[in-house]
Amino acid sequence: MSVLFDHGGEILDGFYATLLLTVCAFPLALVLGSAMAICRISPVRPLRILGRLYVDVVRNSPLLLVVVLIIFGLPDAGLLIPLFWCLVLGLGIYFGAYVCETVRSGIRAVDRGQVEAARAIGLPFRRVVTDVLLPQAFRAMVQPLGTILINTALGSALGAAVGVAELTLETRSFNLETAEPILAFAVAACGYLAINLVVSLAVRLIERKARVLR
Amino acid sequence: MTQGRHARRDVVRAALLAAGAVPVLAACGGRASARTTGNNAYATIDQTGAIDHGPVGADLPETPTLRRIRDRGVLLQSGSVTMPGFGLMNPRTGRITGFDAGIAQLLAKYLLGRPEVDTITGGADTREAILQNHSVDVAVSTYTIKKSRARLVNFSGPYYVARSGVLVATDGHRVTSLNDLAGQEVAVQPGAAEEALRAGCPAAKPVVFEESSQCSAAVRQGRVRAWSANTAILLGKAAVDVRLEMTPVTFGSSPFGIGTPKDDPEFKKIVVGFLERIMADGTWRMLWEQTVGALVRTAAPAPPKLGSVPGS
Repeated sequence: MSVLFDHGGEILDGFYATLLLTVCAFPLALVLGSAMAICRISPVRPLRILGRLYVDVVRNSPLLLVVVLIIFGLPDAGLLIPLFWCLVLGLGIYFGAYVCETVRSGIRAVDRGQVEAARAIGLPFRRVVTDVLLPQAFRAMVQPLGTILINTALGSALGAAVGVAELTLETRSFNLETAEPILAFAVAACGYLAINLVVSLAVRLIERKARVLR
Repeated sequence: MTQGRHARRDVVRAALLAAGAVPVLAACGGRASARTTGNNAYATIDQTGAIDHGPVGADLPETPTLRRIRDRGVLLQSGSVTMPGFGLMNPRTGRITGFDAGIAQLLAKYLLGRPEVDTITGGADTREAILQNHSVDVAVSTYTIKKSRARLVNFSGPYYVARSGVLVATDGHRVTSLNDLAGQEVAVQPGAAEEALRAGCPAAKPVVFEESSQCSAAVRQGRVRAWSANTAILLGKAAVDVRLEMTPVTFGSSPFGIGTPKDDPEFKKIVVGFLERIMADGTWRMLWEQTVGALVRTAAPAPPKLGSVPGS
């Protein structure tokens, strides 16, 4: 157990990096995914095609492939981004595809009659969207978005394969030095568990707040 | 459970192999057909001659591990398929080539009469754990003998002593001594190379990439100052890529051993006997010439002295 305290600093740094990756990548996925979802339901055909292409290509590729393409493909195009931000970009683009489909299905889940009723009582289009459509759509999206956030945190473990010193990589180095594989990976598992339990709890609170009696 | 883990690792490896090809393809603009494993020199390695020359053990004592291997008819080993010159999968033939792969095949031939080996690519993370729970019989995977590990596994060896070298981009910064790497980012593969760098130049910042092709791409693209690895791996890469060059810097010495389960000390003796035999009858030298020697192009050194390292 004392070896854990000797190397605790590095593992904590790794935990912090994992947290930072998640915190940077998820908003990116949220923005990108929402924009793409709007494209997918927009009346403009080229935008719809763009949105569908994005989801079909990104969602059907392995995350590692997306990340490695960004890390080793972009420099050949003259763009050298630090590894950390490459991984953030990769996670953001990849999970953006999932966010896109979640947002789209959330909006589609709102009964058509709701929009028609809102129109019928004379609400302007902006208020139809902000007061009727989005609040109801959001309620259906909370739980799946929480799942995507958890997956983003877990997906950041791929950093270990591409030189980003996050929790998994620091754990591997710790194990390499001390030859304590079970202890090392148990600690890493606790780290991920801690992040994701907090996420689950937050999702539950938000869901309770967004709930209405039907 | 191990089977599942094994399968998952294989998926990850496959994705990595596929992904590793991307920069190579991008970099060489359509001349991809000439490259099988990303590198011609690596693809020519073939240790079949040495395996044919290998001895078959006689009158071996019965031990639990040996009984498991013989009942199964195949040696399960934890190894690598991403270390050129030591254990590298040749996708064209499906064979694993290199010095470590050869040692494992020779050991299988010594124990079973034929070189039947199943390689489990658990990486450097799990070697102690899967030896302890008998998911594998041996670990031959650029496995540096260390006292901390010798608490958990038995080491037979050293059967090879590796030195680390430094490779840089031809048009990049010069590196003339190990101190030039202080404060710089240096690409390494996980395991022996990473440990050697941390010990040899603690001020350097290791950036760990799974694949050798990723390390070389990172150096070429200027993402890292240098790539540090076993000299054999680097010489093999520098020989075929004019954009990379070897520096005169070498450091560290990593004694590689064959890991065996801690609870079977008799089996360790068998493996030591096997190493003595192949070192004495010229098989070791032959294997070296056909694998590492094909990359470094110098005369074979004398085999290391068995048991000369703490922990072995």
